[in-house]
Amino acid sequence: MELNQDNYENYLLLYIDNELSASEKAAVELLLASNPKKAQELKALQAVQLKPEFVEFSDKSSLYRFDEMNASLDPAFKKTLYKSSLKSAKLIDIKKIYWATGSIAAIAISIFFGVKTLVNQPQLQQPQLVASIAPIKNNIPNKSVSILKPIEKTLSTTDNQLNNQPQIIAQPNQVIADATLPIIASVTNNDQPILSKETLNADQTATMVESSSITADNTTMNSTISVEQKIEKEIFEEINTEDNDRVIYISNIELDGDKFRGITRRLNALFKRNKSEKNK
Amino acid sequence: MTDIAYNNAVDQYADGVYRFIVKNIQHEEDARDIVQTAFEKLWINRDTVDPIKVKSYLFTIAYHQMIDHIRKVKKYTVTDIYETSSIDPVYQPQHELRQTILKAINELNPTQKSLILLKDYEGYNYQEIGEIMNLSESQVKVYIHRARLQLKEKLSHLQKASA
Repeated sequence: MELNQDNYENYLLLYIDNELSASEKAAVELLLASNPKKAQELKALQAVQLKPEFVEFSDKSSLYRFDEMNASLDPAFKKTLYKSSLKSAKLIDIKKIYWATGSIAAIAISIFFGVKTLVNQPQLQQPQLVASIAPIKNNIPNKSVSILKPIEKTLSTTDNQLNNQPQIIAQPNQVIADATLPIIASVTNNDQPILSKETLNADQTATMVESSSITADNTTMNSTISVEQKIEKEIFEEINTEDNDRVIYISNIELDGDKFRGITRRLNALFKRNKSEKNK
Repeated sequence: MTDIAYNNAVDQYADGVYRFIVKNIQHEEDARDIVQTAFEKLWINRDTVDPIKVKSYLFTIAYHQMIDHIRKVKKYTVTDIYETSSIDPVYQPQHELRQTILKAINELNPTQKSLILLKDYEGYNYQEIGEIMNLSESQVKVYIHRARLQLKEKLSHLQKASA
């Protein structure tokens, strides 16, 4: 649509309402500059335009609103009102710790069983592993058996002695044969307290065994000594685990016993603290 | 929309909305009630109202409230306004041109009056006015032009009479 004599009034109205494009505006201004009559008409239209006038709404305070006034409080804002918001965050952390410890325990168990299956395999490429784990494995689960078995062995050997000795010694001299009986009985009696104490001394047992079988045959005496020494060795290794600088083996990983104990202590302390906090 | 944004809207638009209504209905108390209702609705719907369109939302609500109010009261009819605001042009001093224009505007029908107020006071374009008053852009344009020419004629008549 072009500006002409018929539609100029419409253009003037759009001009005062600021609804024209820049080019249309320029065209209207050009017309007004060249035509004073039309400029007068524009002035008449501008005269009926309302001029900005300030009217105040006097009671604005009645319009103001705040979230606290709302009955259904915003949940985010509600949270900030509670003191326990921090405590709840802590509880979440504790839960996380439980999960962590649980997962660690699961890993530890799986490693333990993994080691067990490895040990059960007949051929191992690492001799150190066999040396370290095999004795523990053989001793610990069968602790009672390993202790009892040698006793049985000694008893059986002494029984044999009892059975055999009269046959051997009967002919040369009866006195010696009679004397062996209480001595052997004393040996078997002495063996049990020594084993139970688990502080077996090699020299003591050796002398005792020697004294017990003075009159016995040399071959039987040797066999009993060897059995006793075996027991002593096995027990000695078990006792040795109480050393301060003990080492824990998990698979082929060597762990410092003291450090491990320190970690467990800290964990215990942490759980105790959490418990007390929870109770509070 | 937060409560802070809402209260900012009160500071920014309460005067404008009130001016628009009070110039239309010429009744301060009723205008105040309409403004209160408009802001009440804004507060209720603050989460759904587009923050950019808060002003036009307020004017839209206020305008429709005003239309309802006019229908209910039946006080502010065109003829009534014309009768109450009719002045003898002979006794109208020249310097009171502004008052003459305002009175002439009061002789317009409520729709025309609202169109002129939204255009001249608030500076809305035709499209925005159409959205507030539920009219098409071309309707707004035609109604405003008609109102302007009507006012111009009235004013020239008054000026001629006073001269």
